Amino acid sequence: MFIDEDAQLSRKVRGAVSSVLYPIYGASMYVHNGVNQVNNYLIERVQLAQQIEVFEHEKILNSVRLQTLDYYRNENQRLRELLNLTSSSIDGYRAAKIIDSSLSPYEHRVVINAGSMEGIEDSTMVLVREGVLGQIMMVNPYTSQVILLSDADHAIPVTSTRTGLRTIAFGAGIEHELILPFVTRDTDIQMGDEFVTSGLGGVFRPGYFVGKASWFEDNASGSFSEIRLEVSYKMNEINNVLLIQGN
Amino acid sequence: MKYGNYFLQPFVFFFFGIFLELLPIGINFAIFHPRWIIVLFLVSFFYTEQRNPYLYAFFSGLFLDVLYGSPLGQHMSAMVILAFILLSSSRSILRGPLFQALITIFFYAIFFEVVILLIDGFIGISITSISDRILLAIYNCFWWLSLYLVLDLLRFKKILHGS
Repeated sequence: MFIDEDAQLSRKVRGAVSSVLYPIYGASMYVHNGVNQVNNYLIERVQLAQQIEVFEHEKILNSVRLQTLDYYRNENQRLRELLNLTSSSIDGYRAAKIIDSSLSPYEHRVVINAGSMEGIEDSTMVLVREGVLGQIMMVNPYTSQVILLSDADHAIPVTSTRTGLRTIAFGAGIEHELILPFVTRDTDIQMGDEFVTSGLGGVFRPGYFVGKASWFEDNASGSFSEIRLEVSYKMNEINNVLLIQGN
Repeated sequence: MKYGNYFLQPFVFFFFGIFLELLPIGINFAIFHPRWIIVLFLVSFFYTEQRNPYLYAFFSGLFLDVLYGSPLGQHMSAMVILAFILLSSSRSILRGPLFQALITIFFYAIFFEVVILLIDGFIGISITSISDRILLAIYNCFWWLSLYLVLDLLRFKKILHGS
């Protein structure tokens, strides 16, 4: 146990066991998808119509955004060249699908259908449409385990987009919440401030959205404030993720 | 008991436990997500009257370790210890009333979580959500009792002789 914790010598055993588990994952997902299909079938037509309307609006908005994307990309490239910064392209990304979303209700982890056979490595950054989801914590031959930002054992270096303040966000152990500990009371943080990855440590690339400041309390007795961030992804709605190797 | 049953039944319980453990159930339905592998191990222990549950316990622990990404051996040790205690006290559980068996199972479930927490502490992993783990133990008991009553109702077999 102690050897495994420090040196990961048991990778082969884990790989063999996870290979046995892979078809059972498939079976459990088959049942899960079946239940979801029945559930979806029972959704009323009105709700579906409302959803279609929302998606139509989003589609228009996204197409307008896409039209301006090339312009901003070129402008960003020029500015980066002026500032002598390295490129932030996401070459070498790979998509994967979530095959299990809650191994334990008290640990915020998911399993994806990509493993070492596809070239996935430990500590790979995992993204969703809304921003950073977490990082790979264990790679098996066909699957990988992702630890989410909100897991109590996870930490991510972040920076405020408004003030440039750099700090570390810890998982709160509560769904969709992160904590910023050790932030002094005189630090300039406001409700709604957006935090992105700072790139420190090299695991996460800089500039990806992490969360918004959603709760703020001054500790009357101490010199620190308690700040909480809310991540924008909704775990139940995520099916696909994007994996990007760190710096 | 036939040899076929002796080997096949624990095997079925084992894989059914893994299947249930892997079912993606949201945090809002945490009651449906006890440690299914342990619940099925306990049900299997009494249902098949195992005399040597160590192999089942060992592999259950191994799969739990891989599933939860915990250090290899953590759940294995806890499961083997649990099997040892179960085996040594199985006679009194089997002969006692159902309520007594339930309370005993609850204490064993708590004991299992304590062993896991202790190993976490020794290794240096931050110990979180103690209350959640107690809840897990309660869920384990609830589902063990439910499965026992279902099996008893279907008259597949009288699990506890004293009840």
